[in-house]
Amino acid sequence: MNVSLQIVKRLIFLIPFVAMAEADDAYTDEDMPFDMSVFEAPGAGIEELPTQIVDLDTEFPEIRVNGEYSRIATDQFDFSTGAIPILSVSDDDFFKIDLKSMKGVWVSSRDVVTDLQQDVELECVDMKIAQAEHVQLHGVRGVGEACKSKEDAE
Amino acid sequence: MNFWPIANPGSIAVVVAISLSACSAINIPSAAKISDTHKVEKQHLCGTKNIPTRTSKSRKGFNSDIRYMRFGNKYIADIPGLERYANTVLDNLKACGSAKTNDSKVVIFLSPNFEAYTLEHSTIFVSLGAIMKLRSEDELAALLAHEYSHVALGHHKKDRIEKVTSTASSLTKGYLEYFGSDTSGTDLTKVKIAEWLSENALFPSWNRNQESAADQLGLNLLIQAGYNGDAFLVMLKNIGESIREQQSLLDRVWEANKSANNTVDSAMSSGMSILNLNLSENYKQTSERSDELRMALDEYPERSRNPLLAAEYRKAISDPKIVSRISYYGAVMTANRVLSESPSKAAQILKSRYRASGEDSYVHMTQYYLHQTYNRMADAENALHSAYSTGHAPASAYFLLAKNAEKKKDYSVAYDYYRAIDKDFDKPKDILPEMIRLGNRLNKLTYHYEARCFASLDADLIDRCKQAR
Repeated sequence: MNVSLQIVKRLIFLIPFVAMAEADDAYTDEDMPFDMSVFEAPGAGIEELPTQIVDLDTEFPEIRVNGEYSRIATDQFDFSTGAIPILSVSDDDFFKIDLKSMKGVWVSSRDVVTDLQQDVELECVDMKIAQAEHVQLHGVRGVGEACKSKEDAE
Repeated sequence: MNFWPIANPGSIAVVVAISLSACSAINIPSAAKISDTHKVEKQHLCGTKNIPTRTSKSRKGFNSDIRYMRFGNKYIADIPGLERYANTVLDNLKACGSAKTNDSKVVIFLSPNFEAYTLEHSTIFVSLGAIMKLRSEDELAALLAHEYSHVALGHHKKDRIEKVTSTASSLTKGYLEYFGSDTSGTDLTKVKIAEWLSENALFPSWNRNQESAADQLGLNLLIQAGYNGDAFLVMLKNIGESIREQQSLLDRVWEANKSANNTVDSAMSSGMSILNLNLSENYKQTSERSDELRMALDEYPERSRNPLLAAEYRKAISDPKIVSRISYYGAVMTANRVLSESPSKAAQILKSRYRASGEDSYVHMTQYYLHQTYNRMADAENALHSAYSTGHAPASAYFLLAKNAEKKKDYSVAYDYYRAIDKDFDKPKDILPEMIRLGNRLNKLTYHYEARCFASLDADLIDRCKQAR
């Protein structure tokens, strides 16, 4: 009798720990607000690299040819097929691409937008809100200059 | 009904790590990485300079900056190893700077967003979200160089901050009004927006000229210290992405409220509109600053082009103690984020962490919002008390406790909480009308609060103090 009671007591004692284990099961690194893969040893996972340049971030992107740096006009970039394939990626984050007039040129990753860089489509919240409430600051501080309304997008 | 996850103003559903999308089609194998440069060991070119040590005055200033963060409902992270590393990077930059004091120090605070602030007494606050978004020591150095340049240029001095914040005083008033509204039950959207508004009012952006000046000086420091100046552009890209995410989030909050047929009162609409305007302006500025920086970079043709120090950064932040704390905070941030859509999941996440929380006010406040979601008001108040007892609670804990006491007609307790706010947060002027109102109700002398009100020379505040009498 005493033995049974002890077993029951031990089981009761374990209940919170089982619940804790379940709680942990329900939660993974994917839920994290930030990318925990930074803690993985180099080479532990498949490093995802960009494959295409989808846009440019400046009017004169920087390129490197034979170790020499210069800037080049945007009309040298061929977006006729939608995006420019990235041929390889250097240690210092330059992308090897073909330009209209030159093959195998390195372009700075800082000056382009790649397929991996999510471009959040914005709507102008302020435009909608303006209908509900007049706000003193409207029109003074560049309303919605950085965002695109759905109507514009269409 | 859709309301928003809570405890930290920045701990909303913004997932910072979005730059690596999981859905791109083909991976180029790592082997395709080709070295086109000669990797050179980075040297800190300025060496170590004798910088005056911190004085008791600067320590006081540091504590004041920490209190200011708490007043803005920010939570300071307890990750000493990470803070030490960030301060080492700052020291590399300081050695190249010409600032005559050593007051600047880096402190990590809890937010999943990419944020950094430099406060009145030179303390540089960097969000955990920013640390996790950065991928190299050069990028961290760029962020710190920019913030440190605000100090070197004197932008952080209070009189300059006051000029910026004066336009935002109505926002702080709104924040107090929201906290004064009924926060029972699950209607937490207002509280969330109130927190955003307070953040916006208490942590305003520098003006355009100040940002440009800090960029130019910061870039110079960065390059002099031997880092790759291009890291500045990477850092600005991160900021731009973060702003877009926040705008998108704001939009979703607005849409969710509309579709749920919630009443969005005019004050709330104005608040959201102002927030979006500020974000739009910040985004535009970030884009312009990038172009200016490209031109500035071209003026350093001989600068270091070494690969960014990614392995060093990864190693520094991968200390097991640091990883353990980041995982813990990340989990609590996640609980915050999923609170509205899946309170049961939030409860599960918190369950195993709550007992290990100890003196962590962040987890107590998250627990408070969870109890509120389930309408367990007594438990919610207990969680608030636990947060308050840590001694590191954000101002919202004080305000909510005061309002709860007032609801129970326990005016004396409510008054005491306002006095605690006055003492613990360096006498914020915005609470004066509340103190006068409650003081009068309790037949206490309030002339000194009225005097402070008049001395503020803030017409709107004086008006509210008069009404409170």
